[in-house]
Amino acid sequence: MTKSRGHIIVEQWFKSKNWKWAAFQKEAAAAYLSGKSGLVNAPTGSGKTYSLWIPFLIRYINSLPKNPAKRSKGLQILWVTPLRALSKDLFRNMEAAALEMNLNLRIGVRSGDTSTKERASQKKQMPEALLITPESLHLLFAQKDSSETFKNLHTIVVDEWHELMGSKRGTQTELAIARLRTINPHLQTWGISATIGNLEEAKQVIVGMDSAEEDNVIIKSKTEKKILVESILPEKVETLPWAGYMGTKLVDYVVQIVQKSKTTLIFTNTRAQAEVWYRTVIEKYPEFAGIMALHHASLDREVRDWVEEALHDERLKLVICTASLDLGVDFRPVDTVIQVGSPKSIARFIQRAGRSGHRPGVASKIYFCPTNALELVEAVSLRDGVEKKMIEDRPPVIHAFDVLAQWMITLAVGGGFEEKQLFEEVRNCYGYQFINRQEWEWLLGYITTGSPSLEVYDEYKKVERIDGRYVVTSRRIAHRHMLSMGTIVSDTVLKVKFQHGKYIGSIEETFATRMKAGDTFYFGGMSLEFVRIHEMTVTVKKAEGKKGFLIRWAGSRMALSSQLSTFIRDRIDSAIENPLNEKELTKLKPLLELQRERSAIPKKTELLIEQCETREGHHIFVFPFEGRLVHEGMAIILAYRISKLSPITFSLAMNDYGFELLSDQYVDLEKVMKQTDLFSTAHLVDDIYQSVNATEMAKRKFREIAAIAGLMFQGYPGKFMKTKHIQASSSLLFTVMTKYENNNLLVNQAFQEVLTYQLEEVRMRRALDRIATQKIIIKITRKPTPFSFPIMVDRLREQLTSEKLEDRIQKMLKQYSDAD
Amino acid sequence: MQIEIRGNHFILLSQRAIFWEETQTLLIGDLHLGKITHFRKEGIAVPTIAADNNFERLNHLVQNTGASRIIFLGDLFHSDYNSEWDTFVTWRNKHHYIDMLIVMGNHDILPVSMFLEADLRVFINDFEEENFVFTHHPKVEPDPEKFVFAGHVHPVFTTYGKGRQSFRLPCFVVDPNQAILPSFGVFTGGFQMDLADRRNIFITTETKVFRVG
Repeated sequence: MTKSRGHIIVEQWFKSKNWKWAAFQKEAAAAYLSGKSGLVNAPTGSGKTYSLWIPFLIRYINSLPKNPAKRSKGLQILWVTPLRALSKDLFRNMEAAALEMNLNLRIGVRSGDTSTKERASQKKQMPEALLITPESLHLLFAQKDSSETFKNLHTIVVDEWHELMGSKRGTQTELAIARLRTINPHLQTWGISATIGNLEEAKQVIVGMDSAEEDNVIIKSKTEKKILVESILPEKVETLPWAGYMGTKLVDYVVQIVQKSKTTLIFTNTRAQAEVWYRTVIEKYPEFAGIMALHHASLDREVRDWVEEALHDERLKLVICTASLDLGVDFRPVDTVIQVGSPKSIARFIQRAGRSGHRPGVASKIYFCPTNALELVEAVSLRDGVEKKMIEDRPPVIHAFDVLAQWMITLAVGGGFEEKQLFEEVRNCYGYQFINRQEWEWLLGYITTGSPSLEVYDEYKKVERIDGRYVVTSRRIAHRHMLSMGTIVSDTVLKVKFQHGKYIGSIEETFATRMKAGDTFYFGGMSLEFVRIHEMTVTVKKAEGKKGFLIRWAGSRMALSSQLSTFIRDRIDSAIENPLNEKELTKLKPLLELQRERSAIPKKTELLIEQCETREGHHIFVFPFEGRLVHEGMAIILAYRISKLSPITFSLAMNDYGFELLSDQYVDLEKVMKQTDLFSTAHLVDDIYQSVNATEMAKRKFREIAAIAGLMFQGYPGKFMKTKHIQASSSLLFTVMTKYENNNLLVNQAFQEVLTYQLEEVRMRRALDRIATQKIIIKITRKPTPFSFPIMVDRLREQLTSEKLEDRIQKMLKQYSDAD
Repeated sequence: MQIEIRGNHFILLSQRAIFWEETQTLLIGDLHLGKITHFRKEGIAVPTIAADNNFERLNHLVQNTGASRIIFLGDLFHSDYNSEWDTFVTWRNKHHYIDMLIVMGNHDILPVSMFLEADLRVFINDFEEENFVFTHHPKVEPDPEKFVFAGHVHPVFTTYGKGRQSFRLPCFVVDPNQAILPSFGVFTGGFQMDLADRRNIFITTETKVFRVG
């Protein structure tokens, strides 16, 4: 077979660069050029971009007519990326290849940052290739001529698909792909993904439900990256606290490693933690000033850009960052990565390890810095997980009716839609494959007349049905809808700026409104004095040397993944014997022995329960080692089942190892377990719903759903609208809809999300099934144990009660008079 | 719960109001009417059912106490005019036989004429009667010869119990020369109060008032 023109040019190009066309890249090219869709599974820095960009160029070259004037114009390929920041790097690489092959091919970038001028020029003539975020892609569909824009589009590539798929942004992407497939039935859809547990599913989502088996494929890169994991251990285990998650006690050990390396990234799990680490390092090692930087999502885009550039140019020795640097540009100079605190998932740990040793053939090395003593067990388990390549799944979001409602309104704002045709199209999406006519009709009703209890209000009527098409005619509604599109619903944030006008970043309203003039706080590695708050801006000035508050950011703590928790249960079982002689466990031995002395160390076949009495009341600790989400659900279930027997009030707390039920009354567990099956999976969902807590949780979830579905307007940009008001009104809406409507899909979705994501129902069932086979050991302890102490000191608590409010107050007030 | 102040008898009601028995007067603080409609105009979706709740509670109070006079301790209306004011006027006309007074609060930015038209007696600062002073802002140093009733701060109190239990509830604060009423309106925040010497705090649920300490 003779080689095509495209092939020849590409091969020459590879030769001129002195690069090798890697096997998986060739494989991907062959699949792409034969018209297939699918998934490329390759790690960052392995040339994954070129695996699909090069074949696109071949196709492009081959399609060029002899006469340049006859060239067909318009958009041919969409490249979806989760982060605006990524598009810069991608753009550079893609453009370089096209230029070096002498191609007159335009590549555009479209995101929230794209200037109005650039937008206008794109509107006049779309480039052949467009890099875009899911949000911006949806916005293109809100334009009247969208089907014209996409008529020549033949390829869509979704980069970092593993990142997008598990979120509602993934659902957004799916819906857009389905529409593009309608416009061009021969559309080729490709995803690029790092390794995840459910690659096959990831492919299915990207190619849609109608794709035939032989039309799609998974291409795996063979480049195996070796990952070395080493724990940072203190001389004495006592240096590590029993509880806590800051980890700054080990700062000296960490700095030693930093000093030996060229460039180090320190990953923390929260923004607050990153700020603390930055401050600790600079206070103890002032020589780091100027060669150390901070990077997290609340810092201003410009600040972050500067840090990324400086990293690239080898101007920094140390960057302390959060998940904000998980993705993104390759930082070749980075040779060391340190993870502070458990990353809670093996996949995340590997991803971060991959930020170092970017050259092919070089092993990635990651240091693990524990923040409390028990994390040493996690360290060993993480190493196990990495070795055995037990990577977690990223389950796609299913039945997100809020996103669908938003999409329907978006299309109605654009050219409008025909409902039967759209229904079929939506059913081709993995996330909506089971949607039925009844649900669809509810949604049509919702966007046209508002939900039943809101029907009287004009504000909620959005879409009209005209000549069989669903359209939005009001410009005001269209405008409001465009402003509130997207699936990321965050707390209201206020900009932080200096008096002279320079922006530093943003903080949440809840934190900002607690501050008064003269207060100081740490942010962006600086000590800042609060001057005033006006409209959406907090003005500050530098405050030298004063002690300050630590900013709090909302955001939940990550929970231990199912894979990792399995390893941990195994490790705990044999931790004292330590058959593999792991040095982390040797260090931990004194603590484990204390645990055994005061209570017990559970075998894999056992479930440990501790009971003890302190000044606070009567504690029950249960240790299933299943992660905090599952524990939250179990705590609710247990508390509810016990409280059904007699009036009692519990306060609940949990961590990744276990959970606590605290009460002012003693509970005789042996007796309770004879009366009722505490750990039964029967009536599980009913019992969860019966407890008030589930309703409260659903109410909180509903806020996001209501905002995405367009029930609540989040305000015009720059106009201050307090989160408190939005929250209050979303909870009112929830209450009214639950009370006056039987089958509100959005309310149902809120409950479903609580079950699926907040309480991990599936995993909880599996855990309960496991517990049913385990022997339950109840230990009465005189003092808190190494296992129970971290839970006991947790301040984040929920309540569950079967007592009457008035009775509880009476009881409580009695203590006041007793004290007199 | 009945308490005695300067020889007069006052009932602290779980509806978050005070009934002065000797003069058959209801004292009501911080209603913040119009707040909900104000939200809606700002694009925040609040079903009006929440607004109706205020009037239900007012009706209930009037019927149960048989009051012949109501003193509003300021912040009757939350913002500038919206349709909820008309609802209030309708309610007021239905109870034309009750004498109603208002001492103005910082939120009462509606023109005085509107209050007058609604047949309210308006006092820009304080209203005094028999050594009792009715006002919006609590006095920093109340005159010991007199006794002040005020609103404005929306007091709440948190009680703690064993097993890490706690409640944050609206409260009445009764000092030797001054009493502060909880906010009557739903949807209003709260200011945390502490116990102090010679101070009595009464917390209230929806059905019962309790004395603290």
